[in-house]
Parts: sequence; C-alpha cells; structure tokens
Amino acid sequence: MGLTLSSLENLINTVAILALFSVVIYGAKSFDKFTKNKKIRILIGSLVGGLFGIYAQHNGVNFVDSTVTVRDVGPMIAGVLGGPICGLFAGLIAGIYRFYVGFSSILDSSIFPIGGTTILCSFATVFIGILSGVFRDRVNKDTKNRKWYALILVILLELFHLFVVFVFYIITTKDFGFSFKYILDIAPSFLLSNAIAMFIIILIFDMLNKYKNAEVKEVVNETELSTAAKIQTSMLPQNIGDLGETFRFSLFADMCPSKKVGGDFYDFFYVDKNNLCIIVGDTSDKGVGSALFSVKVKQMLKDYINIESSLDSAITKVNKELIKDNFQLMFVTLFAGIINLQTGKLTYINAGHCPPIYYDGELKTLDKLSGPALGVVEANYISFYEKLSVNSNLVIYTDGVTDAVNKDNEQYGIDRFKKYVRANKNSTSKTFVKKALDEIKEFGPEQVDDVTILELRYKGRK
Amino acid sequence: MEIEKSGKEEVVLKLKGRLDTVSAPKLENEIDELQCKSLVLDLQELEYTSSAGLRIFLKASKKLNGNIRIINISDEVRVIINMTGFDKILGI
Repeated sequence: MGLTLSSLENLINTVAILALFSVVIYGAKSFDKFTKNKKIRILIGSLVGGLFGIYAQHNGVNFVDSTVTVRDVGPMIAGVLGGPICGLFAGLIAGIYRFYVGFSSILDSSIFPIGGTTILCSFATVFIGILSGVFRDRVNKDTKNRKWYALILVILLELFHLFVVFVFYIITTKDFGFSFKYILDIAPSFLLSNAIAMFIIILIFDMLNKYKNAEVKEVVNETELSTAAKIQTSMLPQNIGDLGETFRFSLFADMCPSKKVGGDFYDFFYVDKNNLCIIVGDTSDKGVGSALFSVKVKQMLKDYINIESSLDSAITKVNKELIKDNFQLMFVTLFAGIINLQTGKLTYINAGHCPPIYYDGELKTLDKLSGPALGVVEANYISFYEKLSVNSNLVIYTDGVTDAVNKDNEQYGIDRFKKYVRANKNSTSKTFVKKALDEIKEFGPEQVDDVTILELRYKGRK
Repeated sequence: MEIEKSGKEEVVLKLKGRLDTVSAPKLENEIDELQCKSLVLDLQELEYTSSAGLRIFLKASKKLNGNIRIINISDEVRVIINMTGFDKILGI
C-alpha cells in the first residue's frame, strides 16, 4: 500500500474544507442573484473550480515524485455544473498551478522520468474539466441519482488520468514492471480520495438545491395565497356607504385572517327593501381549504335565504346540502339574522356560533342556539327573535376575538370584549370594528385564528 | 399541545394544553396512524379547543365508526362543545 491511512485522512480533511467552502458560497442567497447572468456564472464557476483545484493541490500528499491530490475535482465540478467552458477555465487555472508547482522538477534531471508527471497532470486537469462539461448532460439528467453518475464519471476520468500516466511511464522508462507497480501503488488512494471528494460535494450541492427549491416553492405559494386573499376580500361585501343608507342603520364588518386566507366570512344584503340580512360564519380550520368551503357556504346562504320563505327552512336546507359530499368533514358555525328595518325585529338563527353581544343600555348576549354547526348532522333549525331598540348595538363576531391569546397564554376572553363594547358603544360602526381588531391584534400579535367582527347600529328612523 | 398515548386495542389519547389550528395537525396525524378498534380521548388537561380541534374529533369518530369516547371534559372545553352542538354530534 503506497499511501498511509493518515495521508488519506489528510485528503479527506481537504475535501471537508472544500465542501464547507461550497456550502458558504453556493448556499448564499446572493449567489443566485449574482449568477443570473450566464457569463458571470461561467466566470465565477471557473474561478471557484480553479481555486478549488489550487487549494487541493496545495494540500496534497507527496508520494514518490508526484503528489496525490483531489485537484481534478475542482474543474470536474465546474464542468458538471457549469459546462465545458467553465470546466476548461477551471482546469486551466488548476492545471497552470500544477505546472507552476512542478516546474522545478522538469528542470531537475535527477527526477526520473523527466519532469515527473508535471506536464501530464497539468494537461489532464484541463482535459478532465472539459470532459466533465461534455458529459454534464448525462450526469445531470437524473437529478435524483446525479451523485451516482458523478461518482461513475470521476472514477472513469481518473482511470483515464492514471492510464495516461501509466503509458507515459512505460514510454519513458521502458520498464513495464516498474510503471505497473507505481500505478498500482498510487491508484487506490488516488481513486478513492477523488471519488469521495466528488461524491460529497455533489451531495452537498443537491442538498442545497433542495433547500433552495423549497424556498422558491414557498415564494410561489405565498404569491398564490396573496392572490387568493385578494379574491376572498373582494367576495366579502365592501362596506360601501353602509349599503347606501345611513338613516335606518349603520353597519360595518371586517375580517382579519390568521393566515393569508381565512375560514371566517360575513355577508349582508337586502332580502327586500325593508329586510336586511346579516351573516357571520366560521368554517372549521383555517387556510385555503376552509376559505373555499366558506365561499361555497356564503353563496348557498344568500341563494337559499332569498328563495326560501323563512330563515328556518333556508338554513335547514343549506345544512342538508352541506352534509352531502362533505368528505373533508368541514363544518361552519353560523349566525344569520334578518332585521326588519321598519320595526327593529330581528329574526335570527344561531348554528353553533358564539353568541352575539347586544347593548341597549344594558349589555346582554343572544345565547339561544338553533342547532349544531352546519355540515355535520341533519337538524331542523329554529329561529329566535329579538326586538332591537333604537340606537342599540348588535355585535356579531367569531371566536377568533375571544380566543386570541397573549404571550402569557391568557385569552382575550368575552369579558374584555364586553368591556370594549360598553366603552365604544358610541363610536361609528367603522371605528368600532377597526379599533376592536387593532386591540385584539395588539393583545395577541401571534394571531392563531381568523377574527371577524360585524357591528350593526339600529337607528329606527323611517 | 402534548399527546400521551396508551393502550393497544382501545387507545387512550390524553390531550394536554391548547388544541388550536397550530396544534391540530399533530392530533390529526396521530388519529390517521391509529390501527385500533376504539378510542378514548381524555380531555382532563385540555385547556382549550378551537373548531380545528372539533373537526379532528369528528374525523376520529367517522374513522372508528363512532367507537370513540370523550372523557373528563373540562368546563372551558364543554362550553365550546355545547355551543357548537358537538355534544349531540359526538354523542357526549
């Protein structure tokens, strides 16, 4: 055995440092930005590959008259990742350095065969860089198995390198036995160290790529989510002029999703000229799935409430429809009410939703339940009534309000919210809602649930 | 939220802490991997559940054809279960 274990260890240490070097350079986010331009990419690839070769050469292990190094791996990686030109330049840098280091041996006549392997090895490095570039398509074709193809490539190229050296020795020494022994001594460590170097570094590049792709995917997802969020917001009624009238009531609603899109929704529309329908719902879970479900439910509610003769039958039928094909087992808690704007009579259904707060000089909650959350079991939903006083406040909200938690794991809770209602009962509907959302956000900045608030001030003028 | 698992034929999952949108997927994974015939959910140390948690209870109930018992429900959680009508849905 030509080389000792400690020499091999020395080579592996070199590989480790080079690997670390690759991680730092290639892993840096600015690397991608900087290398968008193809020419710059080739330039950087060549430089890094070349410097890699120089460093490896510098840290090689001396053996007989040559140095066993992983120098070739620099240009090889440059070739595999950057193409033949990149491989050529990296090879030239590393090759020229190899030539410079071994130059004295060419002049030194005591070294036999003449010039040792200086000239050969310098050229081999350049060729290996180019050849790696030529075979890069084959290596990169199958990204999953790229490391194995790179391993085969490095072994083949280094066998080629050894073969050329072998032939050179036979020609110059005319001693087959000596040449064969020399190659046999050097080959195992040479092949093994280069193979390990190449394999590890490609493996690291693959891992970095995976990580980078995941980041890109996240950015794409973010963009798609933003679009979805915009669509969702556009589907919730905008509080334009509070439905064009301010004398019979004022109303404002807003939803603040915990993720970009939420499962909460609200709606308000006229059933006829004197009856206003208001809806606040909360679909189980958050995110895209529940947002889509919410869209469906919101549309169904509007359709059925407009068609059916009563709120009871509308909600009962929507529930029946939702149970069909509900494989995802989503459900919706819902408050739906119809206010007769002439009389102030509120007819409402509460399907598993948190009870609204009502203030008319006295604060109370509308805590009657009509039935379970929608979408799970068949049920007959029965409506209740409440006579709204003039200048009363009706606040419908989702559990994101009361369930908001601060860093001490303390809930915002119903009592705080009631206090807020009392203190802000005279604000405009818009200020009431916006300020409440701000207060809740301030209380629990790490929002885990969607927060929706709808406030209606019944004014009773005709 | 923490989940303590015991039993084989009848698995007992003891839930501790808060079951919300963030922690619900953990319970969902646990339920998805269950190979048992029946399940007991012990909620003694569960401080809170959101609708995301209720949905997982529902999923477990469907998966095990209703062979699920929910025990030791704290007052805080019972309020949520009753309000949403899940007491009737899950037969509690």
